[in-house]
Amino acid sequence: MYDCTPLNAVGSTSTTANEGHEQSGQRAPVFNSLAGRRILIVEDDESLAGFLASELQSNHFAVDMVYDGEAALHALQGERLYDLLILDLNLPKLDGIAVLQRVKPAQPRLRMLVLTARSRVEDKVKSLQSGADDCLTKPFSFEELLARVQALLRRNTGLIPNCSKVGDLTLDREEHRVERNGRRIDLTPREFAILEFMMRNSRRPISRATLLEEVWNIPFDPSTNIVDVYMKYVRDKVDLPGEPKLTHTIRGVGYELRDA
Amino acid sequence: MHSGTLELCPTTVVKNDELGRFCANMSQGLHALAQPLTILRSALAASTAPGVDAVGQRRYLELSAQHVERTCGLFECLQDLVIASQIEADCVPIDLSEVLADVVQDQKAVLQASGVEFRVVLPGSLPLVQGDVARTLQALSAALKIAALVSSPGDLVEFLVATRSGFVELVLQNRRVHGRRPNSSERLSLALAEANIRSQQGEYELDEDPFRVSLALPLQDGVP
Repeated sequence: MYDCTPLNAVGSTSTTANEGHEQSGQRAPVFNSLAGRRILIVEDDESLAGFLASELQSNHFAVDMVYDGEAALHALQGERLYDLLILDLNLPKLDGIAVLQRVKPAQPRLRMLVLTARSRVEDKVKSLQSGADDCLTKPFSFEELLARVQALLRRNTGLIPNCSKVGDLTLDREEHRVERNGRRIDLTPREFAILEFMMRNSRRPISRATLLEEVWNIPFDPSTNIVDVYMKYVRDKVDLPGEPKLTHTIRGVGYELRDA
Repeated sequence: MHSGTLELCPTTVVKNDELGRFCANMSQGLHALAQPLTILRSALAASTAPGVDAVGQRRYLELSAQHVERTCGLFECLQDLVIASQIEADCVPIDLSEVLADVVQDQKAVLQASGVEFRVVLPGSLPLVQGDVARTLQALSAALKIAALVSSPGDLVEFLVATRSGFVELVLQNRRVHGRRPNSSERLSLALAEANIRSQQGEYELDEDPFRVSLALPLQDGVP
């Protein structure tokens, strides 16, 4: 039913936001400025996890899923950075409260939304005291979950601002607008996602593998040159002849965005 | 005086244990029900939301239909749990060899089709047990089904049947550690299996990792 594919051997799956909205029959996304934010769903009921992932994808979020508490810790200690954790309390191997208690000190800025089938006030209080930012009792409606996810991520805008600037290049996430020295740059969604990721990580070399993983959400495949092809598209639009070069090739590594 | 107290205490403990187990199982069942109800509530709302095209409506309705079925299955399981706690088992002498034959054969085909090896160890003959056929079949089917669900291709699931100290014990086990653990719906089926076995004066044990479930039914003639 869901178009999710296994990510690794710890019982997790990953889905990409960028392709999600192309799925036929989905609702139009309600709120776009948070597009591309990465969410980890920890839910042992695979059909519910799949449903939530599919709906969040259709609202342009990047979503990974794991089905137990240990796999959640493993995913959160990995290379991927998450903007939000959606966590069921009743989990195999390590329960949700234990996950909260271990994750909060390590990642204090990670937003955490707890799902629970226990409606007792004590459970909600314990979740909030253990580090959760919000709680939602099952059975809920996805619309409510989405509204809470958006509210929590908007609180996070201090971490990823709406506008980024590198030299005279500006990118507005809310408006999906890119300008350089007053010149409007039209980018396809994929090109925008590449540039947005590079601006978030400006002055840092970014490998082709990282771009493939973060923008396409697929593991690195040395036989593909898709990253180089798209980087050329981006570079041709960003660095016009005569302008100071902002996109740089780092030999043996990948690319870097910087203004000097 | 002392002996009276000693006799009363175990009885009270057993009753508390049974009530505690029943409450825990009902709580488990309600938790399991919350999952499909969440999907149902969301999918039905989505199917009528503005901006959903005909393909989307159909997809949401199909999803709703699926989860109505799942909800009904869980509801039936909860009803059976109540029945197992309130209505006495209809215990008669059972020849387990006959009960096992079809169920095991069916499950063997299912397991092998999904790449799981199924090894059955049955003694040449089995003494009669005292039990309720329908409840025994539910427990056995649930244990077999969940043993299959938590297994992966390449695993070995063993089904061992043996007689020990007044019982015939049926053990299903997959020795692989860190396999998939039962989810809330599967735990509910296992809880019903436990209630059904215990209602026949049987014994039940479950280990989730590695997966092992033991169902034991009393011999018709007691200790051989």
